[in-house]
Amino acid sequence: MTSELGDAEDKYRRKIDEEDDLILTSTDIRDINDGQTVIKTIPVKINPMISYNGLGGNGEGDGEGDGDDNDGEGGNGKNSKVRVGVDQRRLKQMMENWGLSFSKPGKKDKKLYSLLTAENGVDENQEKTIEAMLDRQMATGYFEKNGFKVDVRDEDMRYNFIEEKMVPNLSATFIIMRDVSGSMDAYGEFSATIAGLIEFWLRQKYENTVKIRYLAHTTEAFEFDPRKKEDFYKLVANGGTSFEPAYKLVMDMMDGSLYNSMSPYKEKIEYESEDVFLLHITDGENSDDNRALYNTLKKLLPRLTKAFYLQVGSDSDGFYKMINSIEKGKVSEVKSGNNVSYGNVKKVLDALLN
Amino acid sequence: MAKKPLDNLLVDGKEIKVIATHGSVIDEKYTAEARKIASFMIDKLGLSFGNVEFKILDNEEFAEKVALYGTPLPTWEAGQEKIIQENNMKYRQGVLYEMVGHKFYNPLEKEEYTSVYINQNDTYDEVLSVMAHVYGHLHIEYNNRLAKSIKSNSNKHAYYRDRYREIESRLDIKTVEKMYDYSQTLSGLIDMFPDFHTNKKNDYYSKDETYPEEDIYDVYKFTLENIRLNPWEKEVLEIVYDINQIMKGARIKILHEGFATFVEDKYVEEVAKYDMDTAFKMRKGVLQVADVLSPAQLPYYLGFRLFKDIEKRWDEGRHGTLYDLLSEEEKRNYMKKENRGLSEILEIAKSYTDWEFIFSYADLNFFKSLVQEIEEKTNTIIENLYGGKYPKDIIDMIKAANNSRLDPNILRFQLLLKTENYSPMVYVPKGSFNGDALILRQDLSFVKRYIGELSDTEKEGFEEYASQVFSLDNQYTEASLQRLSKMWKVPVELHTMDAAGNRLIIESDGSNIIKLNDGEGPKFDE
Repeated sequence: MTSELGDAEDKYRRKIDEEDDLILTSTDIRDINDGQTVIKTIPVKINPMISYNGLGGNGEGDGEGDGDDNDGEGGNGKNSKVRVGVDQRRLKQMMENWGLSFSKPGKKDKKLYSLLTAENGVDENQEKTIEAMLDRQMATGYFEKNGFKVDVRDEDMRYNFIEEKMVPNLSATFIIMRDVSGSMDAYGEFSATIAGLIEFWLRQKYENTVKIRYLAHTTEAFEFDPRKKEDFYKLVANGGTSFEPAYKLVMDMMDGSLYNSMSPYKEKIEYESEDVFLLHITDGENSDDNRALYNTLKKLLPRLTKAFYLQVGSDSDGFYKMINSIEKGKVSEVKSGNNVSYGNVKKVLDALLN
Repeated sequence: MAKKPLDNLLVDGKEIKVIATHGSVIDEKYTAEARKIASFMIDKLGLSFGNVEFKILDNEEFAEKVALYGTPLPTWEAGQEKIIQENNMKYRQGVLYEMVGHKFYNPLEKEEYTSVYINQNDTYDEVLSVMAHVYGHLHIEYNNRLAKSIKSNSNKHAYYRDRYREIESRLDIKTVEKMYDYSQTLSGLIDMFPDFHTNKKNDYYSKDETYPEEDIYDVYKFTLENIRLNPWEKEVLEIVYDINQIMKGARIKILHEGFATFVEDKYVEEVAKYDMDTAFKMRKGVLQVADVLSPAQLPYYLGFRLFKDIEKRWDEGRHGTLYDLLSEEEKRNYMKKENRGLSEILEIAKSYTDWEFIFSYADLNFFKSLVQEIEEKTNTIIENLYGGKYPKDIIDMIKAANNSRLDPNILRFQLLLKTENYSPMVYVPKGSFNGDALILRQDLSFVKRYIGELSDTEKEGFEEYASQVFSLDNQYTEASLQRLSKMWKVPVELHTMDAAGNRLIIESDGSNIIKLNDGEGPKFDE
């Protein structure tokens, strides 16, 4: 319908993304993940003109307005707002703007080729080939002299374009591990939002091919039911910090032994046959003895395809140095601020992609 | 009323076409109504206009048309405008009933049409009153001197869109958008009042090496001619310059809306003769925008009230020098049936702009009777209808001005500025440009045009007042100067005054703003 204005709306949306106007909270992300459209209000952008206080400036104005309510009239007032809807399609577009491609093929994709042949009757390509032959004959004057004669040359041939079909590898597990201890109080919203965005990205890109497991830890660690993931996002920060139980829990999940879970399903992670990724969001202040943790990690890390360590808030590097010393290159560290903005999100997503 | 066949609509002996379309289909019912109303307008009120096509659109289409009207290029600004309009309609804030679009050329019929957009969510009665209203707009578009000088055409805009897209496809979107944004900022400096300046040009053979040779009021054009641009940049600037000529239309806003509401009201009176019920519903539309207690829509309100006042005065002969000489007693009993109201109004519609209109017709008696009417109505039950929701500030402003015997000129300026009827007059003074800096100066000499010569004491009082009303908006002015300076690649100075009335220079070098209480200040004398 919007043929005359074309993609003006998209241009506007790209602009608000770039200028970081749209701020989504973890509640929004959860709603969008559930397929709802979230309406956000952002201030109107105005190209400045030399003008008088609140007067002058834009010289347009047509039509009758509603007599009762004139706040939004004309839409050019300084304080007016724009309501912008964000749905799954739009969030996908936003994340693509943030540098995250949804069209990149997976790691273990297999390529299937299929070539169409014209064995059964005349197909499109043969018709096009004959048309091209006739065109050439007309243009060169051959047709006028000799009349119709089948004389197909190489330059007339028309073929089908070979189409590639990608079939992704159907086995991967992504573990999102959130630190919800007391010290994470200030970054709870951020970590939930990041977790939501990553979940959204995984679902959009791999649809149902990736299993997502939700883990949270204080001095204890739990798994959450994937069907009630809102509980996971709503977690309130409380208690002390200890990493050991969390990594121990992952080990237990892989070994198939008993472990703490809010979920009725205690599914084993098949680390031998599938890719396992782990994302740990924390402020990095481990209060426990590091020796036990070191031993657990030494067993765990070889089983993971890749681990991501997202540190919010504090600057203490100790833990990252330790895990990096166990197996170099296996763990990526991401440092970011503590609010959801274009720059911070992009840092996290860049790390995930590379 | 003799029954006349409706298939001939003659304006000045030339037949015009009126149709209503719904998508690509002609809507028979609305076409018949539109023609009926058109024949009333032409025969009874003496309006004249050309071919019209009423297009009945849904919310999304309507929003797109509104966005296209002001910002016809496919830019982020147009996208934003469309979303705003769509939101307004969706959440019922400021619903638009109609919009008169640009003219377009129909190559099949070899005729020029004006497209008028009507919201399909309007009720049947609303559509009737909206159509009547629109003919008022069309009359102004076809007859008013200023409106005729603005030539906007949909076909031209479509061509501009194509060019813009082509430029964008060769460069990248961001670069072109930036240029567009700059040119929009520059559009605030298009000369809206070319008829105001009475500059004498230098002799052709003048040996003065001053540049510019005269005061330049069209800073946009001056920029276009004097800065170094890539061909595509120049093209974008030229396109935006041409498109934004419609901003001049702001100068006849009151006239436009007032006249349209006036003829709408006339048609309602006509309908009331045979169909009271419909007339009552249509009347509601008029009252919504132009009742004495609803000045939220100031252009409608002021224009409609004033036209009603003029009609009464010229019908009863209460005007002219002889009438003014009469005493109050004699004036009250004065009666001379002239019936010249309508012809006077058509004359105004033909050649006036808002400023002239308000300054020559809105006299003390008009404001006095307005205040009287307001006071009567606020004391009656009608106030309950509005529940105190009506915008008090404008009513209080009119009342206060009347009670304190404020100079009516000041009230007139206040009202005009409230209708956003003015963009600041800024000019490049003669001989000021030497390549080091661009100097701009604010011009307030138009004040003298409208309120005459002032004595020294009056002048002091006025300057104090003017500094409050005509001082520049800091936030946007500074941002604009920054952009201007980036385009010119030299510092830009603006000589103006602050809110206290002191002289002020705002200087920008593209990254910093410097303010000095110095300089020449705005120009007051011609």
